[in-house]
Amino acid sequence: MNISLPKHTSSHFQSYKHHGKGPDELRRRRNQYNVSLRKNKRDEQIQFKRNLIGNDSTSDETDDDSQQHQCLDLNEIVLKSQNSDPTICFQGIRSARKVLSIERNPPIDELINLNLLPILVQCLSYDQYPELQFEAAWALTNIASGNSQQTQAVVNANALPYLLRLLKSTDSNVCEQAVWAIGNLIGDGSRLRDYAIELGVIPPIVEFLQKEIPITFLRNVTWVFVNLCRHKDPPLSLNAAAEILPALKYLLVYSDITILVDCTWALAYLLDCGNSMIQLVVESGVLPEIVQLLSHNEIKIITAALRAIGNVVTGTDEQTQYIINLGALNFFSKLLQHQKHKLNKEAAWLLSNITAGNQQQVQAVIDAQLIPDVIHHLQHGEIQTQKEAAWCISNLTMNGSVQQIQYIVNLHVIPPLCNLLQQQDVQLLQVCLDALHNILKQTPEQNLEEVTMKIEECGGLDKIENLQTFSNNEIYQQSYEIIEKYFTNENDYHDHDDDISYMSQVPNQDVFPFGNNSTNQTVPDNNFNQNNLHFQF
Amino acid sequence: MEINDQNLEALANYLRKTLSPNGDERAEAEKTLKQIERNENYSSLLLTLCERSTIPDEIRRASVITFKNFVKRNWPSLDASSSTTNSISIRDRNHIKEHIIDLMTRSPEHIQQQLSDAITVIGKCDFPDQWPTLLDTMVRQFQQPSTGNSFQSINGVLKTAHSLFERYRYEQKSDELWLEIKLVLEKFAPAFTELFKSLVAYYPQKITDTIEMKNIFDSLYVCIKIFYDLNAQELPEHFEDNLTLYMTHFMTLLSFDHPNLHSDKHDPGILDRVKTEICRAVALYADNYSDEFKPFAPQFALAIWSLLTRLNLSPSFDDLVGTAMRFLSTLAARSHHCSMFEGGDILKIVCEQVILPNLFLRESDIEEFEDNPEEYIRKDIEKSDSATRRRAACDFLQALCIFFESQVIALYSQYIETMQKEYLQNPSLNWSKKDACIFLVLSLASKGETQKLGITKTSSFISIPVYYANSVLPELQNPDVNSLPLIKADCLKFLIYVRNQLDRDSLVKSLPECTRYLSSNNVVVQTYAAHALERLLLVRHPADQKHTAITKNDLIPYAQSMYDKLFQILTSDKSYENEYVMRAVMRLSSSLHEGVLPYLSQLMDKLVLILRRSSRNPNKPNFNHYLFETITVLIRTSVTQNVGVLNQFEQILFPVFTPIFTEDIAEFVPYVLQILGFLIESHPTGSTPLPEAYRILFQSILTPAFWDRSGNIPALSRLLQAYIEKGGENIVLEKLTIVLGIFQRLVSQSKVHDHEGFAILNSLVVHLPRIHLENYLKDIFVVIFTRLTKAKTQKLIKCIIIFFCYFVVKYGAQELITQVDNIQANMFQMVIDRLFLPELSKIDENDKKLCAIGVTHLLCDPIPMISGVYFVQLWLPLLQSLLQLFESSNELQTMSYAEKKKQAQEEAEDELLVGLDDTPDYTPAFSCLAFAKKPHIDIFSTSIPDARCHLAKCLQTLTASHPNQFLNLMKTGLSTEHLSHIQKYCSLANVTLI
Repeated sequence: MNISLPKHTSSHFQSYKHHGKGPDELRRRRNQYNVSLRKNKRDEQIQFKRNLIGNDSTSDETDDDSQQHQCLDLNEIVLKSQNSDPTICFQGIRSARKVLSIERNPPIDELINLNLLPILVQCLSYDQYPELQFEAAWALTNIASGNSQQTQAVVNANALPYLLRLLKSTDSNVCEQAVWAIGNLIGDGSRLRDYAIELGVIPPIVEFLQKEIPITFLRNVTWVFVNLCRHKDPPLSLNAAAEILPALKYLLVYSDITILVDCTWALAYLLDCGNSMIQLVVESGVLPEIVQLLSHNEIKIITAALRAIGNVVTGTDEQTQYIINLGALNFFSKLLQHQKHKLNKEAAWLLSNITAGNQQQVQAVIDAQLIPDVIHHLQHGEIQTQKEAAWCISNLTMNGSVQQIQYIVNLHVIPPLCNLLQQQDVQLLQVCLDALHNILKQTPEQNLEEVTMKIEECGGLDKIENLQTFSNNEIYQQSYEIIEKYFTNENDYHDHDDDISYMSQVPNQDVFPFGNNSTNQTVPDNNFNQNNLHFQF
Repeated sequence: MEINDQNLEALANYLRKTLSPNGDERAEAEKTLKQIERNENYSSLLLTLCERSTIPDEIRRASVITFKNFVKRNWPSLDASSSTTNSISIRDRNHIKEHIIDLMTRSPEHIQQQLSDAITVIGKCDFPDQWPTLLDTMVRQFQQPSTGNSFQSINGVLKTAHSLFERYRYEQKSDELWLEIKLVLEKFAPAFTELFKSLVAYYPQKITDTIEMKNIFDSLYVCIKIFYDLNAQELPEHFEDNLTLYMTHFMTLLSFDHPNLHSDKHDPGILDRVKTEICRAVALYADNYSDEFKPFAPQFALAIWSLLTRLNLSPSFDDLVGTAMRFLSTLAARSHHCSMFEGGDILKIVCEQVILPNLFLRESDIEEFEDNPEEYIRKDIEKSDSATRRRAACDFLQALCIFFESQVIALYSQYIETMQKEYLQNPSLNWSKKDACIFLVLSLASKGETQKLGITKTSSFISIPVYYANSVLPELQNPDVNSLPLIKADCLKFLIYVRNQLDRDSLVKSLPECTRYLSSNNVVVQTYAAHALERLLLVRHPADQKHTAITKNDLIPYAQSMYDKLFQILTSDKSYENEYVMRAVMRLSSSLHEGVLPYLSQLMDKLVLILRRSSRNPNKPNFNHYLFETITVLIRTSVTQNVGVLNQFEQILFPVFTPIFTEDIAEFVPYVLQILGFLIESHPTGSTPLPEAYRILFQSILTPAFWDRSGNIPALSRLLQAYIEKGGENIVLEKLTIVLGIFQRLVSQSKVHDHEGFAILNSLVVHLPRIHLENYLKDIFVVIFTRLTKAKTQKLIKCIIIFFCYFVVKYGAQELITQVDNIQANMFQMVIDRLFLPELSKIDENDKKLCAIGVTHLLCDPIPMISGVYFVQLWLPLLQSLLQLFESSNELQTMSYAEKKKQAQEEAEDELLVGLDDTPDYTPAFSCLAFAKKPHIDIFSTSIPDARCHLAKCLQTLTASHPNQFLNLMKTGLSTEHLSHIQKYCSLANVTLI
């Protein structure tokens, strides 16, 4: 049954992924990798919003004909918009806004090419015509909702300072539309966001919270916060974050679902920006509220809260401990048993970062009675959940005490771990092999046979043996090492590596000479003789 | 070299010569080619030659092969070395990359294959960064209008692409890898999908054109592999967008059939290979992208199981059947897919029409059973069946049992019952149904099994003891041992697997049946009968795990008959080196305990004959191993009854052993050495000198050539120690310097065997009177310190600590310090600091007591430690290390002498059972004989029963003679924990420190 293998020098076994890594390195951010192959599922918060129907009473022409008609006459629209007669200009701008609001393929590029942007920007400054300002801001909003070049074109037309000015407008509709347009610009990426911050966007936006504004407006304001926090290349500066955190904390008292979701996502994004940002958020005192949201009825809110908390526990041991101390683990039994697979997966991911911590934190997960659920997912979950559960277990075996590891073994963790060894995913294989290897390493001699037997009984040994033919070298090495160390009989004498290299080999002789004074110099190095012996070891 | 006709001609000429039948001419030409290969344009010249249709084909072929090998050898060197030593210039490299794809697609197939290999080598080094145009060039080939010839050229491109992308299946996720995949998805995937579309649109038009059909399906085959490559890491956006397209065509292809695309041989035909790849690809989806795959899953399940019902038993379908069943297993094992097996008759259809037919043996298996029993056994009970249909069907069966165990078992119970009846009605016609029944019951009942114990966990829906009693035992009780041998083999196999699920009575009852089948005239049946006997003898008593279920008294009535039959096989001409049979002889001999003695002389006679026979051609390592184990068992059992019998063994064995030495039969020498060592050790100490034969032998084991073979060393070392122990002054003394020379060589030249050198040295120290070694002590220490200075290892340090402790016990602690410091002033400080303090507590459990006593004396006896130079720096730390040593050892800590003795006895008894449970620890170099295992001996077992008390007493003496000095030091220097330990030891020893 033992597959014989070429011999190795021990240097091949140097390091597996986690050798010598502390808990902080074991913790995995949710998006460890920057390259994505998947379709973007937009399960998070939307980045751009177009104002399609609007809240004005002017959308009286809704029939397709008129839209068709207007589309054909883009030239005329632009021409009208340039007219010095405010009424004609207003008609032009409004028509432009309308064609930009059609649902499919609005003619953004066409209008940009017809040089509409400077006209729109100019209209923003006509304080005496708030309706015109409103229409222009709306049109800009929709242009800015396009692709990155289109958004950039709006910025290049110098719209931002004018839009910021409008935040002080006395007309609430104008204010709201400006907020909306700004949100789209900021949403494009870190560069535009920082440009807007430089222009002073944060204070006026925060100030809206102190005004009596309608809930719909408040939702838009919250959405701007999400866009401010969204991008992390580079992330929001700590100073800017410090400015908006009180606002986010304030918004969390609302019971409006949209506001809560956006607000929590904003925090989740911030918390994905490294340990100093996590610390800032911790100190802002919002996290107790977020932890409570884990038991909300609305799945969107749970998802966001889970992500936020999950990001905190990618931080240091202390930050992780803070979350544990807030009692977050009490919510996880429910989350792991939730019928929504995605929540199971995220919950398991989060726990995997707690079991990556110290033994006290591992114990907290055990004490919360969560391991049986994790093992259930390891056995029966969807593949993504299985992967996270495998990480959770593997990290536990890396950091757990002998008793803690014994505990999961008693809960029958071995069969599901072995079961996953027939998967093809290299990372998953690695994680499961790590877990099994750690369990074996941490099992006291007298229990070892019980563990190896469990591995063999459930067919795990066969699977590990199969992995010895796996194309990935690390997988092959580790499975080889496990077999070699725990499933092969002893007394394996290897010939390799058996020369003390810098000792000159004595040629084969007919006798065994002994001592230093014999004619054959058998303590072979010539530097060592009776006259100048020096031993150092 | 310019590319001109003259150079081309010259090159063609050399290439022609490389094909010459004249060896010299060939070598000369190859050498010349090697010399000119560094010239600029060399590669271009080769490619030009292989391209020209005017050149004779063998030259073109030689040219492309030379090119491929040239690329293989030289292309990867770019990264490793600087550009000056580069064997292919950058210009040539670029030239090759620019033209090779085109060239490949224009070339005839045999040249294409070689070029494709070369491209793969280049691609692995250069793609994507150094070869940004590769994907574009490949994609351009796809877009050529499809003509008759074009599929063949496209196929070359596809194969190349697959060779580059295949690693996505097994490489670890990383940003770098994903960036590459992303690039491939952007540039390659759209054209690839278009190509796939045109291929699937094209073949229905070409149904009548067999050659074209084969070309198209060749391309489709590689396409689906590439599909897998690109989907392996993650489900890419492109493929998600085109999911319906691919899945629909996969479905169509699965149900497509064409008589000319199958194979008439054992290998699968191209259509079957295409379907196999489809099954693999959809299994990937079912496993990893279940959300997206879910809508398609039921259709595929249906298509695939109906495909399975249509496939006959031809081996050309084996891969397809296996892969298809693995796909179904994937669905069955997942909670979100498994529901499709529920409802209606689906489960029944799957069990009956998909699984069941594949559980039957095939003609080829039956032939193997008769003609190639070893291979049959390997597949049947040694788990080498992973590629068989039976295994795949059984895995699928077990996957179904995850969620539907009771239903599945209920279904199969009916079949089992029916088939059993059919069998009983007409055994000679329907025996294959019985075979399937037994296989089914084992598959369904086993919920866990190990090699050591057979089945350990069973299904709650099926009773093994009942099935055994009703359907297996009656079969075994059939008076005709030669009827339906395959069924007998199955029944014996069943018994072997379920042995730990049966009660003692059933086991005992099976003994005579197993014995009878030893005389079957079928090798598999004989082997299984022997194997069953051997395994049964190891089953533990259910109520008392320390003892076996079958006792020697159960065996004695059958012993003679068993031995007769076993040796009959071993002397037959069919299966005379059957390891299972030899192992059964060994186990039987061991299990009989002293009951084996009446058979001793007949056994030895036969074993010696076999040994002589095997010496001539020792090619069955396991067989040989058990042969020597058996001899060891016999010696061991006899000697415990009567030491006088040693002499007889020596007289029988020496004549057989001598030729093994003189003819140097390398496979046997380590065994013989072990047995000789074991024999010497069995001689009582001190009474009569060892027989003269050993003295003669002693001379020969000191030959250096003997020690050159590392497989001999463990056995030689043990034998040498046995000589030292039993014949130290009598035999060893006259060759003492040679023995010390062996010690020196092992310690100074080997990291693997240095511990053997120390074992020899320790044995000398323990067993030789001091006077004999005194003159050599300095040299011994120099050897050790030289090695330590040159190559320190943890193992070496442990060996040194142990040796020093033996030395202290025998020669006194003061002598150790004197020796060490005489070699180099104050070196003892280094010995304690660098060796004892860090490593003392890590000493192996068996040596801890020795070390505890040795260190106790180092602390309490020598003047330099008590009041001299070493007191201040070493005394306290060494005491702390010693206390740690005590803490680290359960045995030293807790056990009383009586407990220890009891445990040692139990372990020794246990070892005879447990230690032998498994396969032999055979390695080509050296295999330890389990029955010759040397027990650990505590040289202080009576003199110092408890090392803790010994420490306490020594400390008492020390403190009494040095009032205050040590007590104060301990009180101020030791932790309260350590202090309490000392107090505990004192109270155990009933002493008080003052």
